[in-house]
Amino acid sequence: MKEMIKGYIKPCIKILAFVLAFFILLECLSVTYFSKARASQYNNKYSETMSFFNEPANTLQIVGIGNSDLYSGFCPPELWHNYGYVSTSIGSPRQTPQQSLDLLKEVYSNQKPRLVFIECDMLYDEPPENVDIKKDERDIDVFFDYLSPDSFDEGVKNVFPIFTFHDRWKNKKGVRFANKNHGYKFSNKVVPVKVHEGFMNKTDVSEKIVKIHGKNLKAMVNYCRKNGSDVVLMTLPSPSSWSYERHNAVVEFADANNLDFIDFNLMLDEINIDFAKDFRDKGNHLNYYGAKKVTEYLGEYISKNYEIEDMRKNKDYAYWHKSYRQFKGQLV
Amino acid sequence: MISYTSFAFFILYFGITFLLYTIAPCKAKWCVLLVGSYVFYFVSSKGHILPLIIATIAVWAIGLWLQRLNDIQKVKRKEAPKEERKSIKALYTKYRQWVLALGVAITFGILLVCKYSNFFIDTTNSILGLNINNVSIIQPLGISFYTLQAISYLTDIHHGKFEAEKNPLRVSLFLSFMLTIVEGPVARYDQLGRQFKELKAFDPQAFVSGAIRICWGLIKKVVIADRTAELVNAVFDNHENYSGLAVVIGILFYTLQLYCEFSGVMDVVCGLGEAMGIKMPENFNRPFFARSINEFWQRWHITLGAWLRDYIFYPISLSKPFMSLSKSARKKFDAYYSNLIPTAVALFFVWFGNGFWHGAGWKYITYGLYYYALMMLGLFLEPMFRRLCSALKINRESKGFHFFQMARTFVIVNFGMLIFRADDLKTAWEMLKSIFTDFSFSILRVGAKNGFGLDVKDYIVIVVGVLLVLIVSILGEKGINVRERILALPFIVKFILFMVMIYSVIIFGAYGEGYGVVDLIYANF
Repeated sequence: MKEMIKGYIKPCIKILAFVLAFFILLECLSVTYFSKARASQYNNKYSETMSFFNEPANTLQIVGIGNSDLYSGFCPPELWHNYGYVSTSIGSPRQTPQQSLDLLKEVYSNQKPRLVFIECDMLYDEPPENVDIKKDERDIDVFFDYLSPDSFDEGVKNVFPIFTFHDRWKNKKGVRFANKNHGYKFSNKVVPVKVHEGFMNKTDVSEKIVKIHGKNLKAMVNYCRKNGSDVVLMTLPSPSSWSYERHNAVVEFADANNLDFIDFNLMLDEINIDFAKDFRDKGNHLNYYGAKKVTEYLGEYISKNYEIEDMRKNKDYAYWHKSYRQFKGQLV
Repeated sequence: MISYTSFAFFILYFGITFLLYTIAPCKAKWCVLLVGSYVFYFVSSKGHILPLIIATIAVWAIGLWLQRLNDIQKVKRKEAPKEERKSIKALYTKYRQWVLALGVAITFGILLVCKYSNFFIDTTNSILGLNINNVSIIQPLGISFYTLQAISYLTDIHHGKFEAEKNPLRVSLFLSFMLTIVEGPVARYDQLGRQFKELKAFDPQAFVSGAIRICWGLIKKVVIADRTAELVNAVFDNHENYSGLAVVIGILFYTLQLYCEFSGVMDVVCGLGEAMGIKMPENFNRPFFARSINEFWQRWHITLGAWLRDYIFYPISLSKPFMSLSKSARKKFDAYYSNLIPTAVALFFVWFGNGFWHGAGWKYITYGLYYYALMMLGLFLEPMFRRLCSALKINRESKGFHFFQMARTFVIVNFGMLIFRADDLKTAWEMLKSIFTDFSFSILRVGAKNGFGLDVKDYIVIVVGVLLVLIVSILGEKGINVRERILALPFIVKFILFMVMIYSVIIFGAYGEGYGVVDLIYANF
């Protein structure tokens, strides 16, 4: 018996003690130095995505959520300057609908946005030329998507933010993040774009949204509506990652769920997009000049369709004037 | 594919399997491993499980057939008069060879079709000027690894090394084991399959020892290898923008990436096996301390080298035609060269096989034959080199000479890595040329500005990581087992050290936003 305790039970207790200590430390670090809120306070690569944590409670009127197309093309400071709307852009590179849903839930913990724009480019993982749209998604593919390690790993990262913000140690110590862009990624780089032939040529064919992304999109829409927000789907100009087939699929979704859908790829002339000047790369992301045009249109759209108050003269929002001046400083 | 370094693998697939394995009675543990392995394979390969099942059934059936022939031969020889025993043995050996050939044809045939079809089509098109379309075949996960294991299983039964397994599920576990199927090691049935029949109860000491090894593997893979991937991809994927020293840096970093990733993953799988009380075959033994290419390949991907030696080199070199070749060579050349010539011919097949196994492309075959050519050059020139060293009074056993040999081997290996990593042979040649035609140190200024995608802190982590690996390796070469020393430390010291190791991986790991997704390199072979 003594030997069993010494050789087996005692070591097992030590192992369990270690595992317990590990998880306690993991949780402590996840809620302190490596927390989501902390990521928004100090300059690091997550600051812009998490910048909504810096917005005072119950101030956000409009939220944009999506991938890099969104944070490149939707500019909250310009929306504030021209229309007085208080908004934020919540996006990260290759952000998925599942990640967007998790972030939206964080937003609603202390905000009550009136309107949410969901950027739909994140519904597709690959550029159009890499996809065989004739191939139907098998039921078993849906099964594998749910079991995919990416979904599970995202869940773990959500529970323990240290796995997302683990490399905060790489950033400059103590440099507080100045929330001047409100989630927008500023770039005035200009790369002329050569649009491929056949871009947005009309077709009846539809590139189906992968079921797991469709499910998460539906969950986002329902969550927003449950919390009193209106939802609008949109796609920003992106010749390298969008197509009419994708447009059709989103239209089907929008019709089925009674949603408006703004596809800027069909409005390029209307908002005067200039392929020579308005992109910062080979046609995937708008630069500041393109973002300004898109944001101007959105401002007009909101003012015509929604009763959202202009806060420019509201003293409680005076800090937005200051952050706009800081934002404009980047243009010099 | 589910990476061995993902949360899903550790918590879901391995985690649940391990928990059930621990509580299951010893006799049923292998069933837990089988179910766990198949669930892992099924999800990892997105349902493309049919080739594995077909190969398993074929291997099991052919194994039993070979065993049956072995048994009949034994009985017949026992009953037959003395003068007939030799002819009975020869007859049944011939039958078994045909059955073995059938087994190899089926398993190897599946591999050829799934992995090499388009290679053969493209080669035929370019030689004959045809325009045959490529076929769309999904390469089954792990096929390169379980095919080798299947062939070794059948060949060992043929040679009477052990009896065929009657239970198809046990054969299935041997071929589909979740810790070997993605990146190896290439296990033998008597190494692994037998252990599955003698699985033991949970051993806390083995668990802790395995856990330390897992952490060490994760440090190599997630902290070092995945971080260096940024620079390697920057240089090799945009090679037209880089030349000279930048290419050298790219090659060195790729060697580092490949070693840390492959050996790191091997540490993880061996550690996981050890935690379950299963001893996995070793695949690395500090390869950069090798003093020759031959020694390098005895220390790098050890199980592949051993497989090629046992199932290609020995069968060829000990075959009748080669024994005759050796006899003829002895009449014309001295003892050294008369042994070398048949060895050289047999080794050609080994190195061709090595390259061919790695990938369906001429660059991989060239990679294998590159080592063959250098090895042959070394072997043929060895007597001359020995005389030269003697004439110049160079002590070949001195530390200085050993160091020279290690450095020479290191350079040779790095040039091999250039062939291995470049998109194709043409690119490899252009990159190689650029090292000499466009060499300058200016890239250190230009590259330092954008850091090849890495910042100063990344380089510090890489340097610290490499120093750690070097220290542990040097201690290993001196016969000091660092893990055993750690296990002998007091509990509180072990506790803190282990916590530091795990959190080093979590905090300094190159994963998540801003880091590219780095697939397991050898899982693609």
